Amino acid sequence: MQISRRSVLAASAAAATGLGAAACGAGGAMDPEEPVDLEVDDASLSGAISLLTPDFVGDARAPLDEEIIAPFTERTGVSVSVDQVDWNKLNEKISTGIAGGIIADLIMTGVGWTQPFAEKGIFAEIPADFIESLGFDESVLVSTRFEGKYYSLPQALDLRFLGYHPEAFDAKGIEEPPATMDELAELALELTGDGMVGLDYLSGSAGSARQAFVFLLYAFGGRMFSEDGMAPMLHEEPGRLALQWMLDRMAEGSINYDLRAAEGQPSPFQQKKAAMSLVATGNWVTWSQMSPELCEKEAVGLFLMPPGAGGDPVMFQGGTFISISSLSKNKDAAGAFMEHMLDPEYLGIGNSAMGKVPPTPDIPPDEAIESNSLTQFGLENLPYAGATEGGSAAYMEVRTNLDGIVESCLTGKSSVPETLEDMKALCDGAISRI
Amino acid sequence: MSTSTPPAPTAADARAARHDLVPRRSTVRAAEKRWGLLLAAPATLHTLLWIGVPIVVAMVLSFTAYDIIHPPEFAGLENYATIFTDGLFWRSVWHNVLIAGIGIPISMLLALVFATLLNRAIPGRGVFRVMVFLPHITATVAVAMIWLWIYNPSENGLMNIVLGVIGIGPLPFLTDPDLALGAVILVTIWQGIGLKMLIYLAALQGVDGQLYEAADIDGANFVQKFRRITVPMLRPATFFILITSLIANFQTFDLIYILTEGGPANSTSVVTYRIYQTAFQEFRVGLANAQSVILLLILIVLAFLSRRIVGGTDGD
Repeated sequence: MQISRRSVLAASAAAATGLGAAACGAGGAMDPEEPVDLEVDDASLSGAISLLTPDFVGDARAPLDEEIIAPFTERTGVSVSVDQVDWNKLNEKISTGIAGGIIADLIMTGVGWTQPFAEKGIFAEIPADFIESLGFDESVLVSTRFEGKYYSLPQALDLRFLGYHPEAFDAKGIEEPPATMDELAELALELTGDGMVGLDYLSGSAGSARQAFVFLLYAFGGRMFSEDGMAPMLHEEPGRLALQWMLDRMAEGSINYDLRAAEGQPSPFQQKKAAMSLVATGNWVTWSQMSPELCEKEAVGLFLMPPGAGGDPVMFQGGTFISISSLSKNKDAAGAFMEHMLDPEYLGIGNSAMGKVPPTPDIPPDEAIESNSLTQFGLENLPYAGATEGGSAAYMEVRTNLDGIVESCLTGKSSVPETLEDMKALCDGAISRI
Repeated sequence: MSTSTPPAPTAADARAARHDLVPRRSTVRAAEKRWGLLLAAPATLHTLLWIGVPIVVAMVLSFTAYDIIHPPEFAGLENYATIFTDGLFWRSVWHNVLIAGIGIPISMLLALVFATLLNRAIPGRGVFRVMVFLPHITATVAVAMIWLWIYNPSENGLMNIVLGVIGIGPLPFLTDPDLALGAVILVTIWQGIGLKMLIYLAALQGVDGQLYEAADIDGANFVQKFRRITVPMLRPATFFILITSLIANFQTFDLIYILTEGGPANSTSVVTYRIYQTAFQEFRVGLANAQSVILLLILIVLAFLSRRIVGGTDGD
């Protein structure tokens, strides 16, 4: 059988058209332009919706099913199916779901994800009056907006700050946590020695080299992108200071890039191999299971990242944000379930189960949340949670490659100026494709 | 009176007679052809549908700007131009070349040694064969998890425990960009020996014993027999192993995904991981397809070169 050029082209066109049609047809009968109506009464709701979430893993799943979803289904008659996926697979799950036309009605993503998906038209706009009625602090709403409109809401926060072993401070006669980045550097060096590293900044709680850099970027008064998200700013002076600060500490030995814990093992801070450490609110679950002594009152001292350029201290804000898919066929029910999940009672149940921080302190009393020192510290300092990733519709593309660029700098493979240049080039390229 | 004799049969008559007795060759051929087509049809259809169409679609999409969410738009050669200036892509290709260039020859050599040893009647031969083959049939996820523990940078990691005995380390195998790729190569060697050994073992058992007997009569020693008989007789197997190993090497994904995620500082990023990042983390599906097409071309060139170098299966 001979294959002619015409037949190959015809087959290619047919296949590509089919694929394109599949991509375009992801919405089916759905209407992406249909606004979210949060005023619909329960009696008018029906059918089924799906929730895509990277949270509620393991033991936290039962409270989601039994204490959050069940009352909603009982009240409205709408059934909710849960699709759970790991954080590191969430991005591809959403994108392939869109291509296959099987995207969930409600999608839970992270800080920095809202703008890229809003720009692509995947997230539906959420009425501003509803959001304003929630009374959330502005610091937790910064990442929910794109071009002045709201496209997501925080459901659970994962806040990061610094922790220390009080006995390590006592041994060196240190009475106060540091108030500036210079003081932090001095303390880290002073506490280094005798098999202990001064500051564990890059293992575990940092999440990644990228997030460790972003936290310091904000501490030095910088930000990732311009207000409109169309120009990178992470390569400017605060970015240089952030990278140099880490490199200087590594050169002194007060931060050790190679300090890592094995999978499933306690962190260097838990093992008291580090005097100070970056701490995430999510660490509480691990601590309570592996190092319960750290959960006792005042067993660990906590402080915010001190400012590097004057001004206020900073807290890093990660978390899980909930959005309604613009491609949902049942937007009213999806909107109602989002409202339900953001009800203070259910925010308390969800965050208590996951060991995370509710986006507002105004929740009913909950023993698990009240006894969690990390959550309490985070809630008390919520207005300082200004260090956030993202801020540009191009961020999902930037995010992937930023880790490697920061790691290259930290491992001596590229200089600080080269790293800043690479960061700018990466962001410029991604922004040009918006 | 005249007599007449029947005319001698002509060639045409003979053909006609044969036609009456046996079916015509063309008829047989046509029937065979029909059966052949019928029997080959399922595999052909399967190949066309699940391999042919995706390849064509990938080639078509490689000329588009496509982010999965919006319909593809024709972009000409832009994706290919991007690839040629994408340092990370070529760095990933280079990592594959290093893994293949170092890992495959070493694992082939070790596999041949193991196969030769385990082809002899030694006690516990079956157990040793299983032990060598086991890494190949173990899920890569499990392999990666085991090696994560072995490479643990603290003094709890097996490798560092062993090195500690001779006063070295602890070494940060997976967090030091200068060590990470070597650490990955070691895992690929360990995992790759089993299948190669099995193929060599099968090939060794196909070598005619008379060749060795003749060599013995001629006074050849073990090394001479190995060089002059075993190695040449294993050439088809060597070609097969080389080609499949090269292809498998350029398809390595899960090991990198779990062990290093391409890091640190992209020092272990390989082509398939880069394609995955481009498609599913950056949503540049058109570019990812162009990268896949380049990968296909690289594999074709490598297969061609391997055939030229090793000599293929001619004469097998």
